[in-house]
Amino acid sequence: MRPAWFRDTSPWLLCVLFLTLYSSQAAAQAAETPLLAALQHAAHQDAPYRQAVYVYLRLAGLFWIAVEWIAAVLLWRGYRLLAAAARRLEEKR
Amino acid sequence: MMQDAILWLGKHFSAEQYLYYTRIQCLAWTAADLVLVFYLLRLANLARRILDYRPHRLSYAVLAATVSFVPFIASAGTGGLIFALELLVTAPHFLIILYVIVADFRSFPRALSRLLTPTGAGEAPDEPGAPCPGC
Repeated sequence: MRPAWFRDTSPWLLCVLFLTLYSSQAAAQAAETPLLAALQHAAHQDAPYRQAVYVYLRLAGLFWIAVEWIAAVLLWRGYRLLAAAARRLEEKR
Repeated sequence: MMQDAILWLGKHFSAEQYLYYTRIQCLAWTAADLVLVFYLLRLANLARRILDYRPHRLSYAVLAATVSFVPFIASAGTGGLIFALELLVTAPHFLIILYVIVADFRSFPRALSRLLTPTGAGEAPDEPGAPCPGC
């Protein structure tokens, strides 16, 4: 008599085992096929364009940093102006 | 010509360089964030001082705590680590900004109005017990 846990899990374990073995065998076969080599070649051909996208993101980042620094300087100057106004108000009182 | 430029950029921009510039950019915008949030808090406290409200103190402590993570960004070895550190630093900053906007949504215009009024009285306070310098 098989235990209940084995009866419940064994179909799943079999499926996982089958998929693992099958996929590893398929991957091993695909590594030798010209199709995979062609796909890898295409991926390498595309690499400069992907890098160019990264450069674009980099430039967009520079733009965003500039925006943040402009906002920071505006806040700093705004604070100085309002603090001076508040001091004048306190002196008037 | 554009294609050549893209290809040139792509070939002269390696993953290591990308990580290096990511660190520099991350430090640049984190520093900007720190200045921005610091002066936002100072502005909010100025408005609260004009209205005789209690100043923000906990937000300063949170801001100071985030500064401690900044040096680690310069030495972070992977993009994932930089991202995690950036989250630790900027997420509290965004929360502080949100908190200040919500907490001082009404007090800031009121303080500004008091500053801009020649007598310094500004808008009459509508809360019971609130100080009224013009009265």
